[in-house]
Amino acid sequence: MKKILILIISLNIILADNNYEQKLYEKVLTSIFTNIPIRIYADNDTKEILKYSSKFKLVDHCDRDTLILVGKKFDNLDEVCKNKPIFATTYKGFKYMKNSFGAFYWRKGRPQIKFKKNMIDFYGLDLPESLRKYAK
Amino acid sequence: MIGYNSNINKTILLSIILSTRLLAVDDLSIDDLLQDIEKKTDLSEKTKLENGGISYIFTRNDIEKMQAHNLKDILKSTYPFGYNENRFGLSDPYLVQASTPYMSSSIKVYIDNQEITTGLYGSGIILYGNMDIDFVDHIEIYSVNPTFEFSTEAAFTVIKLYSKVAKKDEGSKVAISGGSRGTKSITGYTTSHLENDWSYFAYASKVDDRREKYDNYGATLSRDSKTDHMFGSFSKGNHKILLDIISRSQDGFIGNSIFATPKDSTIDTDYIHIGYDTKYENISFLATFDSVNTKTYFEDIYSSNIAAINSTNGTSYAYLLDSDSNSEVYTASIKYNKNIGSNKLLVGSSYRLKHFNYDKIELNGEPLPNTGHDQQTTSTTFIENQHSIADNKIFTMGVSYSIVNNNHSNQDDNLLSYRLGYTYTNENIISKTIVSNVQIAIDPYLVNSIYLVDINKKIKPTNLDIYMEDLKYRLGSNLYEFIASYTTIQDQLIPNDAGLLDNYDKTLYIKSIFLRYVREYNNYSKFEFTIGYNNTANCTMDKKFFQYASTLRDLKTIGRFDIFNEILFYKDNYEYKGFYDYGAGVTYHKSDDLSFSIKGTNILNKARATEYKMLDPNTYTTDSSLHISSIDRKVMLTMEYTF
Repeated sequence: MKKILILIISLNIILADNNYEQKLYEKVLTSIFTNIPIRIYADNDTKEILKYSSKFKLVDHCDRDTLILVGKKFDNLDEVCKNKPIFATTYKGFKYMKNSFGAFYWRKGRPQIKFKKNMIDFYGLDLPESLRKYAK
Repeated sequence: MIGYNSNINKTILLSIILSTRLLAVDDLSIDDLLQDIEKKTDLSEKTKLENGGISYIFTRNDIEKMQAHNLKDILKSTYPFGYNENRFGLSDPYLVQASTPYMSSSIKVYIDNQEITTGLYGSGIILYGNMDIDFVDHIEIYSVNPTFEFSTEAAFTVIKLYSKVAKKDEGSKVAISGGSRGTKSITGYTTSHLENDWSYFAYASKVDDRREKYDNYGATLSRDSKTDHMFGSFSKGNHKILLDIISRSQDGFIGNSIFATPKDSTIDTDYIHIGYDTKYENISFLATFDSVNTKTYFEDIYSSNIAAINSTNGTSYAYLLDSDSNSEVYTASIKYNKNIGSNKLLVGSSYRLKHFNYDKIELNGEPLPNTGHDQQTTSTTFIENQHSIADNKIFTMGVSYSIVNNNHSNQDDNLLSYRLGYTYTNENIISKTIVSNVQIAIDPYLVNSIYLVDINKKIKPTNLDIYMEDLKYRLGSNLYEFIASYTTIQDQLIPNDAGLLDNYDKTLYIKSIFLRYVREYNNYSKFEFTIGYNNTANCTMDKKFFQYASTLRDLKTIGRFDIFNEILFYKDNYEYKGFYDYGAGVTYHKSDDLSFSIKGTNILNKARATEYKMLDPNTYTTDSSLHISSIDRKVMLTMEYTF
């Protein structure tokens, strides 16, 4: 059993990518939002990452009870969702979506966590000590 | 029964590894988690072929720390023996003190899954060896006939450049460099996601490369070049479209001059690659188009002397050469892969059409005879199977058969190559044993050409038999690697005393040993030491040819600084002299988006030199030759800004 087949390891690495990212989302979002499972409206790419987590309840349509939106871009949102906080998954989304308070994205080949201080204050969110250094 | 047990073991193993790894994640800090995500999703981890011969992987971190803006910065330290340039100043890594026009046809260059190739010269390395690579995420180099999966034509070495992707590089970057002798460059890219899940990566660069110049009997030997380069990729799921455009004007160094005294020597090249590849379930499909237009001009200072020699001796040495050539390469391939029990089967077929013509080719003012040869087709079929004897033992078998036809020529070849491999792994060891045979046909520009000993002679394909053992032992953060190989080469194309090419009537025997040690201090810092030895028997020298090469490389991150140090050592029994190429660099990251770098290459000005033979223009004797390095002494300053 100790012996390892390289091809399995490669497959495992690919499968584990999403799990690592899922763990990161869990760690970050559950330390800001304590009402678990967190009701999330996510785009298709992010759904694939979050769907196996017990910490999140993914909804198909954004409604009044949805707590946050997670994804790269949200068009045609219902009126009830237009002001909900967004956790972006791209640099552009973080920069240009006015409701984005934080983001996990890749830049220069490296994963980054970022928060906007003004939007954190706007939504009355409380960043734990471990995340404050990522806020600007 | 083996297959059944094997599947159960795989499932259990997968679950254990996955859950063990993820259980530990809960205890990690955000920074640790980010580092782990970067490591686990490193694109090179996903693309490397563990069964693919000898592999060298340069990760994004390696490339950035080494400040490798050019492919030759990478190639100069890779197996077997680095980087070299020929008499025309063109990249020719396999050139070994010889005057064969081009030695490196068996090196194939790929961007992602698509080969960069040329119609006349067989290998894209002639274009890409000295190309800027700021659009590249990571580089994989496979040597010793790695796999038939990629190759339409036979390959001894495969260089795969993996382009950056929108997911990991969203946004834009611009880099400005300036340095020795007025070298300057500007490169930049922008990448983003589009609607409907498409994404794009667009890159452009402008490089004015000023090289060391050499004076020789009143001539100035120059390899300066100006290159405009555009690269674009569009991706959606398994669909990928690539576009690569290069326009380069360069000085042609020694060119065709027998005295190494060019009055004027230039090579202007325009290149376009367009390609599409996709995968649907078990079937992969690829279609590419490559087009090259090359204009060369050469005139010698001592034209009248050479004309007199030609007149006296009946030779046709060049003192004036003017050519304008075009080539197009159309490639299509289809591959099918299937897992059947403990077998992983791959079957493929490809077809390549090369068309080329000379709008003009004049030697010493006279047009060269046109044989009508303007087309080559290569049809290749291969089958490769990886059979898992047990969870940790894989037996690989592959056969490739190519039919190469040249029109208006007697040079048609049927090439049969095979590859047998055995891979064994356990917790610490990876052992690869490979026996392979490669047959390589001559490049189209040589077919029935004036370069041959007889213009009508049918040249036999070069035949390589390779026996190789590659043993890797990993202990914690230390990696030890030992490679031993024995290669025989039959019918190598070599020049005779008159400089005309013919199949070598002796078999070359090459014994190689290579040792490598890598210590990874952490995700971003590592130390590497390699030492290699080559022994070639039966070469045209009177004795065996020995080569020794060694690399010491240290990559470190200290605070906001990335520090790079590298020493390349080379010695052979032809020059009897040790060469040292010392390079060093520092990058200061002022912020996440802004960095400043300084890098010195060949700082001691003692890098490996190549001998370029010549006649003395006064005595017409071969007593003298030029010894010039392909790696210039250079200092470069770079500023990078991401936005």
